[in-house]
Amino acid sequence: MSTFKKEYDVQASAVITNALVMVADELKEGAEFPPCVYTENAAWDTGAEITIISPRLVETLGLVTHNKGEFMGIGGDQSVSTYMVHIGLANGKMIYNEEVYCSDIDDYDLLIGMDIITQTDFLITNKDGKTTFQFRTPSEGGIEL
Amino acid sequence: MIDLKNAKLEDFELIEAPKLDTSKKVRCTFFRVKPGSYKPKYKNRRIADMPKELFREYFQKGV
Repeated sequence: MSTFKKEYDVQASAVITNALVMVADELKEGAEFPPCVYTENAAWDTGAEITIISPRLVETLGLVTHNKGEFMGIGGDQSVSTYMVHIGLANGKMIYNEEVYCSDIDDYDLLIGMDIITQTDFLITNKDGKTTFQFRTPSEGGIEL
Repeated sequence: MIDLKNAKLEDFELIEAPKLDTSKKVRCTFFRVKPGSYKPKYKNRRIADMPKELFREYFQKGV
């Protein structure tokens, strides 16, 4: 079990963490790592059914289209490409072979959607107007409010 | 827990909503896979420890 905790000094308007997005090549301990991008702009988004990366990441990593998908967003329907990546989370866990969609997501690099969030225990508290965000993998359940 | 269908005003404790600053740009997201379209199956996906070197390099430089 591995837990990540982020404490804000204020009431957060979004849950943002760092993350690592990597070309979905084979990873071996000690070997050279595939090209990757470190970002501090990964938003955890329970309103997203899928995980989305920005066109900037696709371009920087030179990702190759894996498939074509369609989704419905605030701006209407979009037909977009999907890509295979590994996503490193700040708790030291890496999600291998994650298929993500690509779309303009403002100044975020990564929207971590429900496909990943549901692999975790995910908790937000806001005592005294200060937001604390925690997640852990694998899920252990047992959190009751 | 209260029965919302049959609740009366006095059953609720009132909490004032926060004031919005509408002069600021806000972000709102809601993304759903379009029904009937291609949907990832995540069949080869797995979650495991990140290689230690990678974790140290990017997340815990001092460790």
